[in-house]
Amino acid sequence: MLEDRILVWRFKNGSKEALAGIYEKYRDDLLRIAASLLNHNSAAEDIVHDVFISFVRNRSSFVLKSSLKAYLATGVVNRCRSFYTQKERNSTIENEQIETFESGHQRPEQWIITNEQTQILNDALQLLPDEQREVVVLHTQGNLRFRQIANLQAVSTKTAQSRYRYGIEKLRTLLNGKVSL
Amino acid sequence: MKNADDIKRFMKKASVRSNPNVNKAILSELTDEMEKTKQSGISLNLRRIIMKNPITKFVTIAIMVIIVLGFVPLNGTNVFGHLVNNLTSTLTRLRVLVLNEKVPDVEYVEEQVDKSIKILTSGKLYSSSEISSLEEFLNAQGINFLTEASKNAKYATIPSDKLGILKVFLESRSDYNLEMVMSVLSFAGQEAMLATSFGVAVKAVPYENKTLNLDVAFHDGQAGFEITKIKLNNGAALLISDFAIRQNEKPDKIMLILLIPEMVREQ
Repeated sequence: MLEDRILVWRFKNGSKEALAGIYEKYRDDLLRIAASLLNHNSAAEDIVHDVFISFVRNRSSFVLKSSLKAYLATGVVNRCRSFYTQKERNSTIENEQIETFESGHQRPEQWIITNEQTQILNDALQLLPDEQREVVVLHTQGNLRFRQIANLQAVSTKTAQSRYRYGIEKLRTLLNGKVSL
Repeated sequence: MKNADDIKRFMKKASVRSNPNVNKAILSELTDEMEKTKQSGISLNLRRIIMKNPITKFVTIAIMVIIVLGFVPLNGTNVFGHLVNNLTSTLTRLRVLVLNEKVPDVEYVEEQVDKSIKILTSGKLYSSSEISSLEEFLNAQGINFLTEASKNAKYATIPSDKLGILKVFLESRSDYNLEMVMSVLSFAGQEAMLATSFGVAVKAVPYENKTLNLDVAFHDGQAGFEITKIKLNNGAALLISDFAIRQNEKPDKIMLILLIPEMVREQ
């Protein structure tokens, strides 16, 4: 979209206002995605922080090919996957040695603010297979299109849609009776 | 929970919010990080990008040569009139001359896969002087700034027969200094984009009948962008100034952009 292209152009030319514009525009979506994928707020905060830092550091070589949002969301998803992998690796060593994730950045205040419903949702999302959780979160909370999610997961659009359907159905079962609209 | 739509609605409601204090702190950190990166590696990237591709090298050299030849006093012709004379084509070169603005040196080149657009920027600008005399000069030529587009900028279309006079006026002022900032080549029907670091971006589409359609985006702070559509006929130029917001005080820094399209023979 033209506004994102203009923002990126200005950002690449050193505009702090453009950086602020991009940050304000996509920060909350990325936090939402990370928090839902991980169900671990401090890890989610670190991941989104790292995505923006990396974006700024690689400013000169960045080329906007399609969607800026999809690009940033991909950064979040990749880091979340690394987090799962590390967590699984640690959990197979010894029960006593299961690592409690320590935030790399000490913040006096929490960045992500959740409510009870958020926690119920995130607990339920953790019970989905990773691929289904990704599609459900990216589509419903990240507003990414199935084609974009399919590219991210390196599958066909049909597969992404199918994962979404199964994920939503399973969520419905998990949440039935626990919450009401 | 009855169906999938209920789930989606619930997910939208059960959403996280971010802490405004932390938002501010992290933005500040990102801005500091950007300052650190500004000085490192950009010029190196430019040299690598220019030199890795022979076509890029050729185009860059051609542009630089034309610039050197072009900065001579004019008498009513286009900036590069001695090169462009009576040549018509589908290829348009846009020159953006930025006057009186202090920005960090920025070098950036991007080459599209189909080689239809080449973008070269170099920023090297100088401190300002009084702007009111320029506005008086333009008014005397029957050219008035328009302000409908944005409260942060004024713009005026400079007809081709006034462009040379304007350039002579600016060049005669010892406190102004003109530097080529951006040059964009685009083919008819294809769009090109220009952006500056001070809130103005331009999408340009040249047409075979020698007109240039511009979408000029003025950044309006928190309100986002105001986009104004401007059509330039052959030889006309666009002058943009940002002094509208500082009407009642003498600015120590004024930004002017002079965008000059030129039709050249297709290579």
